[in-house]
Amino acid sequence: MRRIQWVVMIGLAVSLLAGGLGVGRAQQDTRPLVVVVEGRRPLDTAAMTNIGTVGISQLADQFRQLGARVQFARLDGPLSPEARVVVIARPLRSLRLLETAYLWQHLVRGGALLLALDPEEFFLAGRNVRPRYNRSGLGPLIAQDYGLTVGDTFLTEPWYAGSSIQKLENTYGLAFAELSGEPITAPLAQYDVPVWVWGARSLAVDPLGVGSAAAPLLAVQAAYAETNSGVFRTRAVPTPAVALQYDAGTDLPGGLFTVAARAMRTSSGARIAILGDSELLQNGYGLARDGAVVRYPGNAIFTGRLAAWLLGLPEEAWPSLPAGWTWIALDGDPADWEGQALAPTSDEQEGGEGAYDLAEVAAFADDRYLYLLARTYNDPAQPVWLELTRNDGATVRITAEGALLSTPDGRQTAVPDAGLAVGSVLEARVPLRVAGTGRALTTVCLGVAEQADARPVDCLGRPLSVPVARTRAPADALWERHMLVTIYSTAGVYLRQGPSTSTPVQATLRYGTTLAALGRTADGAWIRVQDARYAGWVAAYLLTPNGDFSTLPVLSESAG
Amino acid sequence: MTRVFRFRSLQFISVMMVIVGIAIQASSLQAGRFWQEVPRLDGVHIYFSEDNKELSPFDRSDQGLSRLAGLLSSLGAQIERLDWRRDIPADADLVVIAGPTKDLGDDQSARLWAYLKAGGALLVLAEPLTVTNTPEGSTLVEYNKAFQDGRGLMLLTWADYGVSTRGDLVVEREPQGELTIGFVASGRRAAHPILEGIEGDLAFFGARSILFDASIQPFSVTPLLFAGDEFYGETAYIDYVQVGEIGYAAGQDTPPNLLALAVAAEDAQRTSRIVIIGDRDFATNGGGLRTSPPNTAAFVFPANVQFLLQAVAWLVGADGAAGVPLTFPTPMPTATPAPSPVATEESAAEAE
Repeated sequence: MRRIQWVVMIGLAVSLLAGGLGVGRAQQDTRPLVVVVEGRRPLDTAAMTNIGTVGISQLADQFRQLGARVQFARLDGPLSPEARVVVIARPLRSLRLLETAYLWQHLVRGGALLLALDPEEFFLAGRNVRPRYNRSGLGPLIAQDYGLTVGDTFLTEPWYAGSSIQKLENTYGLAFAELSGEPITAPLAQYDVPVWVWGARSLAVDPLGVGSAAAPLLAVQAAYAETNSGVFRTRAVPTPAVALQYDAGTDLPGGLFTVAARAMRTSSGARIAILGDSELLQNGYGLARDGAVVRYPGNAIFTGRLAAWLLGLPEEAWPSLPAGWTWIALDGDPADWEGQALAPTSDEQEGGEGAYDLAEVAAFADDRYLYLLARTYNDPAQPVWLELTRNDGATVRITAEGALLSTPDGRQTAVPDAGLAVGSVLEARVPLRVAGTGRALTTVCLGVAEQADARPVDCLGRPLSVPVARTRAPADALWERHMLVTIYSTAGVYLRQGPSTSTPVQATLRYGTTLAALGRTADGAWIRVQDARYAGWVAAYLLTPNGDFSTLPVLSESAG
Repeated sequence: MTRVFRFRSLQFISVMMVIVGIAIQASSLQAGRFWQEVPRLDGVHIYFSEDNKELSPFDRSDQGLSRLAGLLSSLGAQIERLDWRRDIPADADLVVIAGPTKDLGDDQSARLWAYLKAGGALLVLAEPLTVTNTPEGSTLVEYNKAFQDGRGLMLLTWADYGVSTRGDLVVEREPQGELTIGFVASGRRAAHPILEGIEGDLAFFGARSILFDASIQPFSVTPLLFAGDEFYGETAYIDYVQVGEIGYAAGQDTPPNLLALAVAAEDAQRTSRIVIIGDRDFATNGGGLRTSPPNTAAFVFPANVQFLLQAVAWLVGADGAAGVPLTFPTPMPTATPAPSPVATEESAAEAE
């Protein structure tokens, strides 16, 4: 009897165990699968398992936050039919037939592919990038079926030089959302937020094809597109034999170049996104973080929304604007002012039609800009300007084209990076180096641009309080048009009033600060820098420029 | 490295005549009891690739495949031309790549592989040599650039189906030192639906051998036809044509045992199938589908016809379909060529 009991108990235990295992097997992970191709062979790509500078673990986290499971795989066999998205970032080796076939099968099944490429022969960490994309079968296939063609180019800024492009950290630049109304880049376009790139190649997009639809996503304003990869050094040839210069007939003339694009097959639903730069999504570059805050919000928004599109998520589920940044678009729409701590100042109605009669003005400042929101009793019918008066008596008159700073000593300075938009309200943005960092403005006035006497029509009767928000401006309007310099010194770097250590220190610039470089001293030892907050001189050796300082104009020591 | 040899076209033609003569003599023995029963192919869409200098199903010359295409069409199949600029159509039951002399591009191979992995079928006729008549009146013989061993499409078929072509030419060395490249496959045959009911000899006119892996694998490979044990895979046939004297070189040439000439393979789910035949002339109007008298329905090599039709039926999964008997007139030999040396010292000297 006892033996029977034992048998029954053991049988029960076994059946419970088997049942448990069975339940475990029956549970399937229904989350979409993202496969990141990595490993030295065959393609030597940036790895999701690498949390270092050149890894893409941050991108993998973005996919996870969107509800996907992420695995890495070597592309040495067919891809799992479960794979929804395949990521190939920065292949250093060429795509061979096997890899091409596996990827194409994945696409034919209706999968998605994110391909991030760098320029051919671009020198990275002691090695050259050789994806040979256009010599592989994948290039012609994607060009034919998806309308996306990758150029064998290197997009060159006017201030690049043969010596400066040999270092990856010297080739950073800005890409902006194409004005194609793409939902992926909509927030970037609305808020003028750039995406940082580090040495990009161009793409060509054929938007319409039989069974496919493609669209450009990001564009770079480049001086020209270099087509000779001999401009880069190699391990064997440390000094390139080919000069970095525009060669008519072979290089592509300057203009807007697409650096990121997406395409879709209507029949299978397959999706492809190609990036002409891989650093824009690598941990230590585009997806770098300063503590909990992303360093380049444009990159985080772009890659997050691109990931959501690749996963086929509904647009409502796409990531939007990250916290810690100021999101005010100059569009005359007050919707994005919600949530700001404001201390608006009201103004009594003066009578008349009310279109140029201030009803209420509010302001706040972040780390770079002063933002103004003004309401009139009726919508203005003519172009208008706003004028703020600082506590020191200086005035800043802001129009849609920029601003003019007038100081009490009679000097006037143009401020191209200020702006004004008129919609249901008036919205203005003024750089702090011009608006000042005071917590209040003496007054704000409104005028009509076409009035010959240019006198204000109405002014606030009381000072305007300017609360300071603990957020950061996601972009700087000056960046787009100049050589850039970035502080990569772990110690603070002094910003001085003049090009000498004997001149007063205006500010201490911290690691990661990027400014526009406007000029240099004749000996090149000092660089005149400026952004929305600061303007002054910094010793050249403390700066990492995205070009060659010798291309900067020589400025007098009293400049600025 | 591709080696090139030129020699007088008359001599090359005489070589081919020898081959035809041998084959006719062999096949005519069985012609009288020839009959066919092959499955119908109603609703089957067969796409022929023509972008890589393949043989055309619409070409009625000796180098064309119009007879094979006509037979397939008469059985109900629809013959189409493959457009490589887009993915292989979903309605494609079979893709035929018949003896290209230009290798498939990686993009084409990728499209083809994706098609196969989605359950497609592929018939490959691989050719070892290319022969071109030059404007100067000479004939240019080169190793075929298409389907090179371990490259391109063959890399994929080897990895996933266990079958690839070799870079050789199946030859028999005669006692006088001559190499015979035309022959009938009289070696061992496998039990396979494609071979069911085929009793006659199958004629080859210069074939490369097929590498196969019939071990326990996720795929299934069946070598269908073998060359006789007296044949080996010569990898330096061009040297032979040039020098006139060459023999089996161990370690370089393919050993004479189990030289497969045609192989069938399918994946583990038996959804995608491949047949590779090592000779494109096996199916041409002037080769395996030659008739005698010319331009009649009297096929000289009826087994070739039956093999091809049953291969297509197996590839498209119609091998179990209702059969239809096909009968053809008995062929009448009309050519009695005299043997002629393949290459002489004189011709070799001229070539130099």
